[in-house]
Amino acid sequence: MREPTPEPGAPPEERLLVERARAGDRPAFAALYERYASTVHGVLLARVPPEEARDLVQEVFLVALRALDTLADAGRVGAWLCAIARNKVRDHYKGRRPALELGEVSEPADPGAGVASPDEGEEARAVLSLLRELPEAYRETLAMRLVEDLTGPEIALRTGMTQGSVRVNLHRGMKLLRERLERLGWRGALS
Amino acid sequence: MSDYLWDKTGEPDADVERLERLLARFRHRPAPRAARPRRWVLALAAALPLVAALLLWRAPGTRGPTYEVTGVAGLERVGVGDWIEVGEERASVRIADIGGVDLEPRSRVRVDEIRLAHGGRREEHRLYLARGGLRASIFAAERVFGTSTPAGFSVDLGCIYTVEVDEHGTTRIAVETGRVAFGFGGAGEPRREVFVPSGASITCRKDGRPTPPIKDGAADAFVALIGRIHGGSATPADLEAALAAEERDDWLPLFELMNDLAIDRDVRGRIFDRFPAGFERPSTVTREGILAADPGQRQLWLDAIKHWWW
Repeated sequence: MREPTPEPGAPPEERLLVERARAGDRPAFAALYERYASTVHGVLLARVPPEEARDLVQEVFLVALRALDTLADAGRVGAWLCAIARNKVRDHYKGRRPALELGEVSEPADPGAGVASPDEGEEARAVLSLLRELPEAYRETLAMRLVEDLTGPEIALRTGMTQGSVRVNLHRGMKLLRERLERLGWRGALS
Repeated sequence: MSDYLWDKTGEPDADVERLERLLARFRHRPAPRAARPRRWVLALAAALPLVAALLLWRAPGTRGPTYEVTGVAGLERVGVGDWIEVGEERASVRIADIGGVDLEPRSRVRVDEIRLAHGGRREEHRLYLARGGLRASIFAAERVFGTSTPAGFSVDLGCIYTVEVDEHGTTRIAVETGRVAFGFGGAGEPRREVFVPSGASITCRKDGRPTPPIKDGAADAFVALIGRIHGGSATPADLEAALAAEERDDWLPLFELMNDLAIDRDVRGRIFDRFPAGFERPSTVTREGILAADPGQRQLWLDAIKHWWW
C-alpha cells in the first residue's frame, strides 16, 4: 500500500518555505502549518478521537519546529510531519489503555447532537469509529479524503505517497468501509 | 468506478458524498482568511534575511535579552522597556525561538517583559501594543507569549492571531489558528478572561469589557442579538431568539455572556438552564458557581467543551 519510492516531492516554493523556516523564519513556518495542518489532522484523526486530534495537531507542529534541523530532505516535509504525527499518537497512548486498537472510541457527546441533529451526530461518530478500525494506510487516506476534503492528488503531494498508492488506498479503503457500513445496516450506504 | 473518490471529478458517488457531509464536522478548521490577503506573509518571508541565530541574543552593552527587529530604520534590536515606532512600511519582530510578530505601519509597541518563569524552566514574553496592529505567529506552550493593550491583555494559547488598537485604545483581537485568552479588569474589579478560539474575534474598549467572542460565520441577525444582550438592551424575545441557536458556534458567545457579571443575573441563569446538554458540564460545575462568576468553575467547564469551538 505504501510504496518506498515517492513521486517528486514538494514543489520548489515549498522547499524554500522549509529552508526559511529552518533558518528561523516563523511566518514561513506558519505557512507550512497552514498548508499541512489538515493533513496532520487526518493522520491523527485516523487514530484518536476528534478532540484529542485537535490538541495533538498543535503538539505535532511544536515538535516539528524544534526538530526542523533534523529534516534531511526539505522536499519530504509532508511525509516527515505525518511520521511525527504517528509517533505522537504512540507517545500519547504510551501507558494508556489502547482504546483505539479495541475499537472502543470514548468520545464526549457531540454538542451538535444536542443542538441540531442528534441522529446525525451519533451516525457521524459511528462512521468515524468504523473508519478508524480500517487498516492504517486505508484509514489515514480515507480520513484525509472524506474528513479533510483533500483530493487524491493533494493527498499524494502532501504525504509523499505515490498517486498510485493513494488511489489504491482510497478505493480499497472505501470498499472495506462500504462493506462494514452495509453489514451494520447503515442507511446511507448504497447496495 | 467514477473518479469522484479520487479527485472529485466525474459523476458524484452518492455514498462518498454522504460520508463527506457526515464527517465534515470532524474536519480540521482552517484559519478563516483574513480580510487582508495572506500572501503578504509569504512576501514578508521572502523579504526577510535568512538568520541562523534563533535564540535570544544578548547584545554587548545592553541590559538583557533582546529581540531582532526588521523593517524599522535605525532599529535592529530591542530589549525590555524599548519602544518600536513603525514607519510607513510593515515591520517584524522575532520573538526568541518561538515565533514572530508582524507589525502594521504606524504601530507603536513596547517590549514589556522577557523573563524566566516556572522556576527558570521557560521564558515568557510580553509586548504592549499602544497603537496600530500586529499579527503574532507563535509556536510555544500556552501563555508563553502575551500582548497587552490599553484595554486588556491577551495571552497566546495557540499560534496565529492579530491585535489592533485604534486611537481611542479600543482593541480588536481576531484569532486565525489556535486560541487566545483575553484578560481584562483590574483595580477594583475582578480580573477576568474571555476565550477567543480560531475564527472568532472580540472588541474591547479601553476601561470597558470585551464583547463576547463571535465566530466569523455567525449570522448578522444573531450578532445583533448578542450585541443587545451584551449591551443590556435585549428584550425577552431577543433572549429567546438567541437561546434558540442551533449552531454550536453560536453557543460560544452565550457561554461568555453567561459568565459576564455585567449581564443581568436572570438572563445568565436562563442561558445556563438552556445550555445544550451536548456541551458536557463537569459534575463539579454548578449553577450557583457559574452565576457567581467563579473563575475556577468557568475554566473547568470551558476546559471540558472548548474543543468544540476550535
